This record gives sequence, C-alpha cells and structure tokens, in this order.
Amino acid sequence: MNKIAGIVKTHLADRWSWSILPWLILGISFCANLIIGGVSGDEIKTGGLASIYVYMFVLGIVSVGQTFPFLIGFGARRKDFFLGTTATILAIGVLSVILLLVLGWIESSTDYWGIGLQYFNVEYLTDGPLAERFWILFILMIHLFFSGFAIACIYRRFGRNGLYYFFGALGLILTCTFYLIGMNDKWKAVFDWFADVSVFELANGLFVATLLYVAFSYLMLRRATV
Amino acid sequence: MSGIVEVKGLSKHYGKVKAVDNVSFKLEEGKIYGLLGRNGAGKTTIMHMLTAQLFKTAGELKVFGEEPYENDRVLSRICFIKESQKYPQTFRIADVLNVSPQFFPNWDAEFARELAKDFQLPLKRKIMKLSRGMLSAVGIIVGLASRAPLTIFDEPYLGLDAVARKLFYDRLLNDYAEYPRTIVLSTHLIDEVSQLLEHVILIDGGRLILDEDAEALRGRASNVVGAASKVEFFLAGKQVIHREPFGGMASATIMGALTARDREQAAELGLEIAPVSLQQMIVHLTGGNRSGKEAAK
Repeated sequence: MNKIAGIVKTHLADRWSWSILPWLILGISFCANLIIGGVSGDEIKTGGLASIYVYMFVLGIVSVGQTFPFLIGFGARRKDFFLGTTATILAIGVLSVILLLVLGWIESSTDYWGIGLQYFNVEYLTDGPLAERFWILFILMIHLFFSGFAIACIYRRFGRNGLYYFFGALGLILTCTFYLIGMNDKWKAVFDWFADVSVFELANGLFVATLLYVAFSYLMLRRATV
Repeated sequence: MSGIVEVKGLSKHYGKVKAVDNVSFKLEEGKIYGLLGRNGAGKTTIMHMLTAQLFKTAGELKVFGEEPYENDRVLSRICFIKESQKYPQTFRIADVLNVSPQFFPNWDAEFARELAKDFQLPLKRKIMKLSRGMLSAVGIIVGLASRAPLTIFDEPYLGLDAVARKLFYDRLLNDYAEYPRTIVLSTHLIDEVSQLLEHVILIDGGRLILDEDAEALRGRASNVVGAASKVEFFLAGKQVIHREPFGGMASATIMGALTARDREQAAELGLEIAPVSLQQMIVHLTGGNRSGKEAAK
C-alpha cells in the first residue's frame, strides 16, 4: 500500500504534466474560441474540448517512459507501478470531469458566455442527465489515457520493433476490415448501426475496450525490463 | 551466518552473447562485498537480476530466501543504486528525497538532509541539470539513508572528486558500524575501496573467477623482484600470474601463499618479496592473460 501511495506521489510530484499543462492547453483553446466568437459575432459550436482529451492520450504515453524506469530502479513492483498509475489517472479523471461539468454549468447559465459559444457543452456528448454526462466525459478521458499507456507498455516490453509490428498488424487488420466492408456493400449498415447507438451505449462500449487495454498493458508490464 | 543472497548457476544470454554465464555465489549478512571486474564483465547484469529488473535465462536466484520477482518482501529490503538510474524529467533533488521514504521503510530523512549538506547539493535543482558528480552524490545519499538490509552500489562515485569520495567512504563506514547491513560495492576503482572490502567476488567475461575473503586474498599473491636467472629459479613449481623482465632483472607475481621455506630461499637468492595490492592482483587476473585466469581457479 505504501508503495502504491509512493507511485501516486511520484506521478503527482510532476504537477506541471498532470494538473497544469492540460488546463493551460484547454484554457488557451477556450480563449481563442472566446475571442473569435466575440469578434465575429457568430454563435460557435466548437470541438475545442478535444484538446484536453488529446492531451490525456499523450500523458498516457509519456507517464510510462518518465516514471517506470525510475520506480523499478527504486524497488517498486511492476504491479505497484500499474496500480499506482491507474489510481492516479482515476483521481485526476474524476477531478477533471467534475471541473469540466462545473464549467459547462457556468457556460449554460451565462447564456453561453453571452456570445453563444458552446465550448464545454458539446451536442450529442453532453445532452443527457448529469450522471450520464459525467460517465461519458470520464470514460472518454481514461479511454484515451489508457490507449496511450498501452502503446507505451508495448514499447517498454518489446522496444521499438514491438511498436513497428503492432502498428503494422493494426494497419493490416483495419485495411482488411474496411476492404471487406466495402466489398460486401456494408458501409451503410455500419453507419446506420452507429447512428442508432446512443452516446451512453457508446461510452459503455468504450469502458469495456478500456478494460481490455488495461489488462493488455498489465501483461506487457509484467515482463518489461529496465 | 545466514545467506542474504544465494545464486546458483545463474546465466543471462542475449542470443549467442553470454553476458552472465553459470555464476554461483552466496552473500552473507552484515558484510561488505566487492563485486569487481572490468567494464562489461557482467557485474551490472547480475545486480539487475538480483533486483528483478532483468530476467535470468537460467539458474537459481534467492534473495532473503525468496524469488525477488514482483516480491515486495524482498524488493523493499534492497536498495540498488545504479550508475544508470533514471529519474523523471521534472524531478528535483528534493523530489527524490521526498518520495524515497515510500520505497525504503528504514529511510532516515534527517540523515539524508545531513548528507545533502555534506555533499553540497542544491536541493531545488532539477536532476536533469546536475553534473555527473552531483548525480552520483544523489545516488549515494539514497543508498546510505535508505539503510536497506541489502544495499548495492554500482559504480557509485563516477564524477566525484577525491574529497567527495573520501566523504562517501567515511560516511559509509560510520553508518555501517552503527547500522550493520550487507553492502555490495561494484567498482573498478579497486585500490580506493580495497580497505573497506571484507569479501571479494571477481567476474570476468560473465564468469565468476574468484570468490574469497579479502584478508585471505591479500596474502595469496606476492611480487618477487631480483636478478632474472634467480627469479626464474625461484619460480619453479609455483603459479605465476604475471612476469615482467627489465634488463637483467625480472619481476613476477606469484599466486599462492609463500611458506617460511620459500622466504628463506628468496633471502638466500637476494630476491625481494612484496605484497601485491588487490588492484594489481585483479589486473593480472583479468588482464586477458590466460595463465592468470587459470591460476585463479
């Protein structure tokens, strides 16, 4: 338990990466939208919120390379590293999403910042009740984090060649899939299926995918060396 | 005496390269060991396997009686300070000292602060910005203040000046006297540490070539100097690990203790006998000269 706390502490000692940079990036993006919206007088619906999500993906990758060799060198178990990192992202994810929801609430109660700028409220994503909105934003965030984390774990386990093979195989699988869908004229069916799925169901699907990445990352880390 | 580390037939192969080849040894509680050998001999690989940072290819490995892999009971009793230890990019020295107690249960924060002052370390400075010597000093502080029952220093004083090295030896001995534990020093600055070592393990080309008490080892080799023909006569039937002629004189290093009879004979022949330093002995044993390696067995 002590070690897991130590790993969380090690991650969070890097305040810049975990709690300042994501909000700085989001803040800059928001200000840019605010200025453009104010000057142009148009009512903007923006996807600027994606910036913090993309950042979480990057953080997932970076967090492993930065801390794994250090912590293993200091006698932490691979399991501790894994649990500690997961605990850190869950805590950061919950706090971030609460903040995003509060900002969203401010946005809608100030009549969209007075200029009709929808930044923290995104159609389709944040249409449902509060708990659902929380779940969707949260799952999206940890899904992206663990996507990055899983990629970094492949690198830790198999090095650069591991990544070549992984992305090579992934590219091949996607190409074949797209080809088969096209050949059988199923694209319309695929789009129809996606249109029918609610965002909440989609989030649940992503949750299952995230669990798979988590399990996969752990298997990689178990045999990773420094 | 209980074994802290027991290694049997330990090997690590990378393809055809045998980084560590069938090594067996035992470390006992409360001793200072020297793990010696040339660069690339396999010392660091062995230490990485002891701490489960690398996986063995074959053999048996027990630390505190258990497998170290993913074993917190073992890992939290080891502090391994390696030359290549990585730190997160944003870490300052203060951050390292802040998180260390979480990983080393015996951590003494007061002692760590004192040592930081002794080594004149700027606590607010980022690890990335430290000189090689300061980086080594950070490792030394962690290694000493952690007071781990098994403390391993891998080339701990790269870049440190003579004053700082002396400080390290003094602090190490004082703290070792007060809090006995098992210490492994891996280095090629052999002369400097030879006084500290109680037991020597010598690795060469991935193989163990010497595992002996330091005191016994010191008496095991001697240097003979004198007229070349007389030296040759004296060497008959002895294990010679090194020979160096100069003019009509010769100097030779002999492995094996000399008897009183030998000494008498040397005196009669007008030969001078001097002890061999640990460093010299190890240079001869690992200097790529086969007779030396065979003599060690």
